[in-house]
Amino acid sequence: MNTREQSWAEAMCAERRGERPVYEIFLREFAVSLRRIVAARLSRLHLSAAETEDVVQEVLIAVHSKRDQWDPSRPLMPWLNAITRYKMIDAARRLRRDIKLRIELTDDEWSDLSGSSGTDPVHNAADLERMISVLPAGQQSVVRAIGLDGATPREAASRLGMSEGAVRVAFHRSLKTLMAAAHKRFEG
Amino acid sequence: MTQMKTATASNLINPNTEDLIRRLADEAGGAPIAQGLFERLSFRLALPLSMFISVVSAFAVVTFVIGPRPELIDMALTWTFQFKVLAMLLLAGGAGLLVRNAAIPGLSTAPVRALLPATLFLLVGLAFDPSGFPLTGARTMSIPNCVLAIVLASLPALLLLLAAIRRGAPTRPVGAGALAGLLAGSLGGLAYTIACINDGAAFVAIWYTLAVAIVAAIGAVIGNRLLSW
Repeated sequence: MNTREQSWAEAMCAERRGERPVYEIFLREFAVSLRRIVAARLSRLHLSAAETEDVVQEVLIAVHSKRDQWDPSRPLMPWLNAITRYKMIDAARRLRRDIKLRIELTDDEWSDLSGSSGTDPVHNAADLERMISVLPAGQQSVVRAIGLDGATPREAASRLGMSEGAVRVAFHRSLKTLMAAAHKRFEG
Repeated sequence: MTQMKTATASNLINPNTEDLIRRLADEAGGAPIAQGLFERLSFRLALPLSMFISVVSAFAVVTFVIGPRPELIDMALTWTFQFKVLAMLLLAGGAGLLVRNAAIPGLSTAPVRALLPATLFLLVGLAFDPSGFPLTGARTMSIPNCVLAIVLASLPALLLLLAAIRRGAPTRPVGAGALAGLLAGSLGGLAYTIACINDGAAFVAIWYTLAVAIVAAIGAVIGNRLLSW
């Protein structure tokens, strides 16, 4: 435990000096321990363990985006734990809301999601717009900026006045939603 | 044997996550030195700076919207006036400590010890109020006036403090918002002491505390939206 605190804290300091390999090893080790914790928490909350990887990625992005705020004179583990706990609670709340939302969709919305049009959806720009339109407004602008205009997360963040972490998370979530919708259309 | 296999499989890095880790690692040292240093500094400075401006803004609202009581200079030497000031200072001190901790992951925001001095002080004032002033204040509208004035004087401070906390990494948005409200409310109460004509210790203990609690509730509601990241 103590050695992990030390080696991870050193890796966080190495990151500031631009030492990529050390930081990458830390991220990988942290992800492994996160995966275990998150999977256990999700199953205790009776939520799908399939979301584990999403939550792990969100925590990694959160830690990465706030990494310059960690004070090396303070222990790292409590800092990581507090962020993990926060993202875990956030994810649990979102998952519960998603479940509710999915149940509360009207018939029209269901057929909108799964209805097939004659053309190939991926190559039709109007259709692409239509697919994006099922996303919440905030996610739509992120997808347009990154996916269609080709901006980097940082550019998109400054353009939209959001934090880079928020942009990454929003983009990640919208891709998931879009993939699921596209999948349904191809099959249906 | 099978068990061991599953154990190893669950530790295997998901290709998706592996991709993310590589992209994040590419940004190692990527918070450029100058910018990173500035951001770290500005985060450290943001909180004390916002606290200072909060005090100024609360006094400004009370001075320009309500106006100080005419006999303020004579009153300043009485224990009833000093009770109000000291109670609000104790509350603001405890809340200030908690607000700082709320912006940094892993630090304790347990309110009991930080708020103990203020709580005891107010309770003693409530139980042994020797002033004999009525609990409902000097005038018929004293209670709503006082509560409303304190809330009003606190709102600019609340927004400033929330903006400063947002620069940090609050991991309990609702709690951090409530603590910001607690600090803003006690600063509003502190500023309002220069205008308030109700000098009973029990009046202060109950109605000032209610006003502070209202600001804390507003802070919790706004914090829930504003402080998540």
